[in-house]
Amino acid sequence: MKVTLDWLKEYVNFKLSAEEVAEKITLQGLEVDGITYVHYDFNGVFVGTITTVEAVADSDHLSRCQVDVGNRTLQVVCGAPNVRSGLKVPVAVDGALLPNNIRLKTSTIKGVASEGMICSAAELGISNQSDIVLELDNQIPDGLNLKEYLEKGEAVIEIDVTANRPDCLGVIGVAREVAVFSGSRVKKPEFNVRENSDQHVDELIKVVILNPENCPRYTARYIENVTIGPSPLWLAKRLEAVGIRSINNVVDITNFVMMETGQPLHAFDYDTIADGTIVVRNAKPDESFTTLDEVERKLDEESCMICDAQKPVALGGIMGGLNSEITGSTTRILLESAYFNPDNIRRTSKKMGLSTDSSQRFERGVDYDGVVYALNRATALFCELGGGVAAHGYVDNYPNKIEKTAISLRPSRLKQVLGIPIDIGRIEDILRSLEFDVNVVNDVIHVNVPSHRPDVSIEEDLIEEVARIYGYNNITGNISAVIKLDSRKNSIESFSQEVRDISTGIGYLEIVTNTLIQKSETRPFCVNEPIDIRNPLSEDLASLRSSLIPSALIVARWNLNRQNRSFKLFEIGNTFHWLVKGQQHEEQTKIVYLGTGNIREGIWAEPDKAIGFHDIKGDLELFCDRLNVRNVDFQDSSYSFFDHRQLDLTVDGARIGCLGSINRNIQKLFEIKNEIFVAELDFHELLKHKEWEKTYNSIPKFPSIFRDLSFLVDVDVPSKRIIAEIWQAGGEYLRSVKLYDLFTGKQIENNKKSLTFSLVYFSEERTLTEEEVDSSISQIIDSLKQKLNINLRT
Amino acid sequence: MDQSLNDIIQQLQDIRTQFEKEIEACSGAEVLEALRIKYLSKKGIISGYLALLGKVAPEERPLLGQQLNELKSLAQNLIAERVEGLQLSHRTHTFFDTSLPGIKPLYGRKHPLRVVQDEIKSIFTSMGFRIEMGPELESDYYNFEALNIPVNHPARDSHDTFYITDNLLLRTHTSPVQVRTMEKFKPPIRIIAPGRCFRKDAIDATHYPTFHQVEGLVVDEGINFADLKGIILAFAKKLLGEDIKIRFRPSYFPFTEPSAEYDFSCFKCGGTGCRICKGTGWIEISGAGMVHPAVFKYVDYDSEKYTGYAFGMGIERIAMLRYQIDDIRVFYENDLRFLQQF
Repeated sequence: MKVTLDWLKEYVNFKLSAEEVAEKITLQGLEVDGITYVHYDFNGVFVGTITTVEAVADSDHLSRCQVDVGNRTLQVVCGAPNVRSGLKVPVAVDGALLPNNIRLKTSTIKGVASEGMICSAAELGISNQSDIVLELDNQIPDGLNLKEYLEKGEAVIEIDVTANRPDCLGVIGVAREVAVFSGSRVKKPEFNVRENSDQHVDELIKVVILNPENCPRYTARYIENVTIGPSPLWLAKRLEAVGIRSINNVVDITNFVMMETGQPLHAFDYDTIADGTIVVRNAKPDESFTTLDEVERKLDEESCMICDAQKPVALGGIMGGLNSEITGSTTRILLESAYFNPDNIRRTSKKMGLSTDSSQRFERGVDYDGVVYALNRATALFCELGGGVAAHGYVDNYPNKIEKTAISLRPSRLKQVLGIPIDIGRIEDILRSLEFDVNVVNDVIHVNVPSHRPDVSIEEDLIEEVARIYGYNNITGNISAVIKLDSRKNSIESFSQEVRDISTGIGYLEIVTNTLIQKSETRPFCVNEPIDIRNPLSEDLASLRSSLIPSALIVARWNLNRQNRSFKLFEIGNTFHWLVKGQQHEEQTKIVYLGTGNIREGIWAEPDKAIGFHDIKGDLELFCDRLNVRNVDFQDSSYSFFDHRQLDLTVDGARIGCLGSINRNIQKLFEIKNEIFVAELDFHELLKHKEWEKTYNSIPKFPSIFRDLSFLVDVDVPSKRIIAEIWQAGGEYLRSVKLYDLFTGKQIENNKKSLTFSLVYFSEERTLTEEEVDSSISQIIDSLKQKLNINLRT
Repeated sequence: MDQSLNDIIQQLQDIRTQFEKEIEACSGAEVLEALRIKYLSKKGIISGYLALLGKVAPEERPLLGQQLNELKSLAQNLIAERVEGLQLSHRTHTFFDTSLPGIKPLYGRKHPLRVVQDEIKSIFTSMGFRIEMGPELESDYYNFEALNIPVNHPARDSHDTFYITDNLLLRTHTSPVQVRTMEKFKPPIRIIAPGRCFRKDAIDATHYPTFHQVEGLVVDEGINFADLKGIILAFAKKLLGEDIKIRFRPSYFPFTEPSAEYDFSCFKCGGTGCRICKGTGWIEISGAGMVHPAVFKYVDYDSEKYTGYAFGMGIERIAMLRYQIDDIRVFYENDLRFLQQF
């Protein structure tokens, strides 16, 4: 909503600058987005009066005009039909600059010297009116620089009006807010409607409301003898300043009154209204209607239609119809001012995808008592500026009068909510300054809410009204409030912190990625049905990710394409899928790890050592260990997005996640050439297996005995089997088995590998003897020989 | 006894001075060995004096013995040091480049959005708040209706919502967690709810379809607007320093009444006006207010007995202001050159 400082001054007295007004209304709850100054894009145009007009010989339309521009008289040739002696006009003189960089020069037309140009509003960029010259107000003195005149004092304040304040979608509403801090009251313009007492409106207009729930009030007037023409400069200029194009006097007047009062109006060409009858009803099934914008719209049974005796003529409260609009030849007008049900307007507007200045006001709730004022105000202007005469009276069909909201405010409640007491007299003053009716009985403030404030309906609303005028910043913050601790523990939160601390600690960079993803990118990772957005922003953000792996791959691609070749990434995030399509969904929290490139990229020591499958596996093992998640194991898996290098991670036999190497198909899909290792774990499953308690294990008092064993094994025997066998055969004092060397190559026969294990023995009760350990070792060797046909390497 | 004890001690001093001079001048292993023989061998100078020990008066022996021992160990130590030094310098023939850069272990970093979120969380938890969470895929009921935003409410306009079905949507704010928490627990409630939200905004420098908020909610008997201002002020000071000021402006949210927007004094210019605060001296942070009685009704709280406040803030906004990031998209690109700065 834009208002100009001058326009505000029409209704309220104040002496503040636009900046000061902006600051004050902002602190009162009308947030100012910015202040701009009206700027006209021309120069060298002066006010002048045409003194004589003569026809130019050899021309059927050109006139030779003498124009008094104050200090001199210029001869100007002009082709506009409305030039006449005594007319006040804008004159662009030699050297003037007009919009679009047009520079004016003295010229000779049909042999007559022309020392300037009398301009139309379009030529000055004031409105679209281009067929006639702009007629200026007679009171403006000749010789005045028109640009300076137009720009003077026109500071435009743009307000971001919140959804609850439809009253401030009218300049008078904003003026009311200004009145509160300037200590004055708003004066609404006074006027007289020129009525023809011989003609009564009831003989000309009949209004029937068939759906009073959607249209509680409908008022109308009849005006005849109207001449459609350009608006006077003051009107065009005022509308242009707040961002509304000037069209013609009738349209401009309805827009002007809407901007002034917040009440949208609609003018019909009376001659198109069959029988002078207005029927307000809901649309019929499958009815359609062509609105002013020449779009044929399908209606539904809840849409509120304005009809005449035969046909619909407007989509009520939203847009007029093409069949009844004002045209250049309109002389008789049916003017509508109504109150429509906000919910209904909003529903229809949403459904049609049609939001207008009118619907925006009706859906927030216009001033139900202000309907007639706006009707009369516009009628008076039609008469004044369009030469019209109104029939006597107006139609006011208002079947169920809307009563003003009555609310009580207890000062004790105000103190309970705000934390400070405010004197009852001060509360009364504030509410009165906002035009509330106030009546105090037994220290309770009884209030009638003015009809322009539909947002105020409960006691808390009144408390806010008092507080915002009292000043939020005059309520001192209570910084020493006694804290009642909410000590219920959130284990999810602390687990998540731990996960992130450990992950960064083992070298992973945390990423935060978009939940929205392209369907083709999430599908390969989704066992269930992925969830699509019904109204996506674009095709590549049309699904919810069902796994974090594609999100991490997108980040990998981004970096690989930018010469960042080596990295380890992780993210904790949510994933989504349908359990029953369209009915039941699941939201899960996952942890993803991604590694690619070299472990020591850019470092001189071992620069080419690539991140491998076992690096990521080791990270997971360390990660689980640090999280105090025990009994971690890995099982063979068969994910279609990994190549042959892949595993499931299990805890106590339950599947927690997976890791593997991204296969060719996925690489192709994501346009990645590099080798990428990924792991994804289920956050909540992992959390279930976390041991929160830690207890101390005493350090062995007796010395340990260390032994190394090397075996020559077929390459395809998994090391895990051998380790399991060693544990099995090792006896009660075997405490640790670690593979510490893996060797293949020339020194050993083909298809064999050498594995060296480091074994640790100790007892908590005594020092072990060498013999005890030797016997365990020979059992291990025997067992491996027997069960796996594995021999000690000699 | 032909010499006095003093004389002997004086001689020992001289020997010491002489030894130090000689070892200082000595440059090779051979010379060093000669020096050792000269002073420390059985027939060396110091050994010569040891023979004197038996000849002095018994009461003088301890002092002389101590002096002799000191001299002897000094000589031994200095020679040993020299020998070691010579060996070391001998080894430098194979050059060891100590100037090579240190080999740093890989260390991850937290995402700047998470860093800021962690900081906000720790400030509030230090003030007795607990952390709550809610789903990102939310029902219309929790996201709108129970927050006093019925269907066809104009306030839905400012929430450009991604819908999955008629009733299932991506939450547009973290406020649904308010309702979920109040359904679960009775007062006192003192929580913050950080989380991800979604709005159907075209992507540009200040808009991204997913973003993060932190919601706050405190409900109990005797909670009021002054408390809300107090907590926001305390938060602002902890986040940005003692000098920060706050400003509350009346505003509108269907789920709070009275409602406010709150601003911080510009932490770049301190309030005098600069590019960051667009000359106003204030930086808009987010919304807050007293919980609307209609919301209490949905969760069956007695609004005559209990009052509460709620507030929100945008993580991206605070992170952008703090690190002077001018394009929200960099958070979601996750370029290494960006991540490694934090």
